[in-house]
Amino acid sequence: MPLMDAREADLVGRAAGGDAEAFRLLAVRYYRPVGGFILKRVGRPDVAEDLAQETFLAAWQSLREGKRPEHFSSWLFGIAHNHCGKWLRRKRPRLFAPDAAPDLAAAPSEAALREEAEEQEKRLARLEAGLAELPEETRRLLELKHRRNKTCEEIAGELGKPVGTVKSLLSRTYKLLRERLGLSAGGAS
Amino acid sequence: MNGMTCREVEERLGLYAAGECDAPTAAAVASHLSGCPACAAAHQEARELVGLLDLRLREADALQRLTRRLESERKRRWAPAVLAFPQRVAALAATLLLALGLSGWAGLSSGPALAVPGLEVAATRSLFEADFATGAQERMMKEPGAQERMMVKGPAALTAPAPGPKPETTEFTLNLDNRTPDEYRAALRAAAGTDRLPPPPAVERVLELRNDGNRPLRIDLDDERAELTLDLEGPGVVRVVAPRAAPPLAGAKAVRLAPGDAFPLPIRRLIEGARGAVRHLYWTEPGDYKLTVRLRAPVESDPVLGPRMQTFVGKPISLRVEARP
Repeated sequence: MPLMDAREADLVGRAAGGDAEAFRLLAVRYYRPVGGFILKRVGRPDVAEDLAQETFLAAWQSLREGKRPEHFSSWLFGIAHNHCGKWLRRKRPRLFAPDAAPDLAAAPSEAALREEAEEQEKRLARLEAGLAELPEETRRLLELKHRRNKTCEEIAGELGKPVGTVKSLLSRTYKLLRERLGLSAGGAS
Repeated sequence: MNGMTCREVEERLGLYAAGECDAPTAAAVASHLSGCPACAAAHQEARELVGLLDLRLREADALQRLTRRLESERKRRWAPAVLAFPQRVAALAATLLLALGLSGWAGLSSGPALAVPGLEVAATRSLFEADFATGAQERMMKEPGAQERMMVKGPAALTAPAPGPKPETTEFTLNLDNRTPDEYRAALRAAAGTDRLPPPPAVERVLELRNDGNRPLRIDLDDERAELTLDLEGPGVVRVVAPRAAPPLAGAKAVRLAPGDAFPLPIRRLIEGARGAVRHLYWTEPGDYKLTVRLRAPVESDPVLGPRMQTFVGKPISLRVEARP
């Protein structure tokens, strides 16, 4: 990731001047890595989506108020980190949760944020490549499951397939994508 | 299905993380994960993948929402600056109307109707008037006296008349399945994340959402982000993750409220959370408890601006839990 290329610097400057379209283009560029960055901290995609929205709105307001970040992406990830911190520090009663989200560590340095953002982008690029290689039927299955939020039973009804077949295909797809992402044991990184 | 091997668990981790294992399989996987750090780490990775897929495949929708919000923010920042003073006053009044436009009220589902012989629950009518708290409104409510000004009683046609300014206490009986509180908490801890959790206490409440504004509203209770949170304070409150339990808003549909309309949202048991993140709450000691209900859901009052996440906050209600005689 370059420090801030000329096009990005131009978009940041225009956004600071109130150009919503310029900021939208920045959001399109960074929404995915910021969402992944937040997800890693809070562990819940619904919360990650909300916090990503709040991150971009805060960035937009800050730019409008005169902030000129030297490095847009690490500045943006810093805002995301702060929003995660606020969410994780909210009042939480005793919870017996085997996989509760971990507390947020101290604020990382700008260099560490940049490094993590780059790593996040690489992993998301691998996921994207994995998705692109999937057959149309499998992409449709993922769309129904993750975008339309349907259960396997509902998907089976919609596609006219047995539930077991849908679950089996979904399970194989997850395994394949974990390997592409370098997540599963022995997977490529 | 007990005693799964690591290989068997690994084969099911994706479906388990996506909430698609049947109950016995999910329980067996959860049991294995609680004692196998290697598989627990793999489970975290599977959860991460499922989360990334959620984010990636909803990205286009999320960016559309963000674009609408940015445009809304831009208009809000600039509109007052270009309006003449009388128009600014009108704009401020409109904003306040919107801020106060949706309020809620909650009490027992039907006060007098509960006074039926044989019912264990006393026919007391407690109230926890809910306020519509969002952004600026939340800041307003922090000011002394602001909360009282924003309370709006529910319509008499749907709720019992409020008995007075103070909430009444509703009494419940503590049921620990013949265990001591410590034993019961230990059992809950052991059952966390599995299907072996006992049903949480039934409270049979209604959170009433009422549109007191002058615009129609839509509350997307069926949206995956809609979340019910129960703040229960008391001597023995325990929250337990219940990954396979039905979320509290399961089956709820989007609600359209014309001005003046109300919708009673039932709160049957102490279950909170959203799809994929459900928690059970239990009281494990006798004593006085305080319950506050929060509903967070997308609310649309203007089709151009689209839905925005809004939060209802109920006024705390007192509950008395007594040991079984």
